[in-house]
Amino acid sequence: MSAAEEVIQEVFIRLWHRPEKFDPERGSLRSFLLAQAHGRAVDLLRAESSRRRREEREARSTATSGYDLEHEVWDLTVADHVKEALSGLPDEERRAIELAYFGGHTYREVAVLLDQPEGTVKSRIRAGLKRMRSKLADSGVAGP
Amino acid sequence: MNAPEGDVPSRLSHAEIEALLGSYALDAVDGPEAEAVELHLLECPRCRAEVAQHREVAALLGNVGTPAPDRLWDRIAASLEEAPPDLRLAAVPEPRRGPKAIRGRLRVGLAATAAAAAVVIGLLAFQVNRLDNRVNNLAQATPEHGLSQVATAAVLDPQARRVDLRSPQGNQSVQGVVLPNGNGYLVKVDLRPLPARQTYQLWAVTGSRQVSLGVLGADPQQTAFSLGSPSGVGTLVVTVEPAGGVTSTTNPAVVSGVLS
Repeated sequence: MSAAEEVIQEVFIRLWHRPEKFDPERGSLRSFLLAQAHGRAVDLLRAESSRRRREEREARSTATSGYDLEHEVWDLTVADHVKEALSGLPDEERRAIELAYFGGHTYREVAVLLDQPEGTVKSRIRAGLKRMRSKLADSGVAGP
Repeated sequence: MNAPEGDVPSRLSHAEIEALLGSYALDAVDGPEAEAVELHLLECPRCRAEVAQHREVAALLGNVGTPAPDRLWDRIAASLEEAPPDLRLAAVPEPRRGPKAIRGRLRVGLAATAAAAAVVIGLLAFQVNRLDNRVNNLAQATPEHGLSQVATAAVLDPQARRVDLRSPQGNQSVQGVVLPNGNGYLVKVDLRPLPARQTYQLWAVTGSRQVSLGVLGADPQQTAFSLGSPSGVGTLVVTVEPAGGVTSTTNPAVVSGVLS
């Protein structure tokens, strides 16, 4: 079984056993699971020590902040809008976000990979996410 | 800020934290820095709101993936030791698709791992496990006179835990209290009256179990119930069922709330 499949399986089984970890008040189950799966996937890629720290943090607070997506009907068109918003970013912002999110790298690693200062990478990730959000809000995919 | 991992100042300035928020939302901040951000988020609503917005975009990024193999879902389903429960809980929309339809839409890829969670809409049922058959009629079990005084006393009990059950739109609600001995009271019930052929039914969700707490009738007022051992119970839920109640349900929650 691939690592990706293991992560998905683990996330679903965790929800099965600990349904109270999901708080509907904080947003959709979908975005909750997406965030969980991403966090788990990133853990797999990183050192044991970082996984342990995450688990300790999760044990301290059941709900991490910020799953505030409105409950929405999700559709294939969402993926199209997201791809479009991503490809519309300035190249350096898009690269930084791709390496961090899809590559599972820390911003420090992204800085090394792109041979750019860490501060620059941090700002590009943040600015790129804001830009994407505003585009996705225009197309009605993200909240205003 | 160029401190190597393990050498992060214990207090980062607001501006330093802010600069990290985008990376943090993508799980791209590690170690003590991540902990510093989390501590800050506990006390800063503005930064919390920003992270929430970034997380929304991150969740959307999870949609950009390739379809997962069919066998993945089969394996997940097979690994859950019990038959899928059939109570859909919580203030969430009705599932749009059944598991079959979803199967083809699963997505993976490491990119991706995240994206596979696309199936969730059909899996709300996972929030619930086994159903006990403890359906009883509380209205008959509790002498009607005197309940109000008992309920009032319970509300005033400093050890009482409160629960505020609300509907998704917020237009229906039930307020309850649970005493340490497990006795509970629905003290303020604001539910739309039902036709005589239907009834409201109260359920408790513990970590791994789903238990009926009783049938409330078509136009419930103050009611007593018992949780048995209240420590594990997290959530109370009310559903609409055929008169007489049911031992298991496929109906969504009318109101739900978490015990404080």
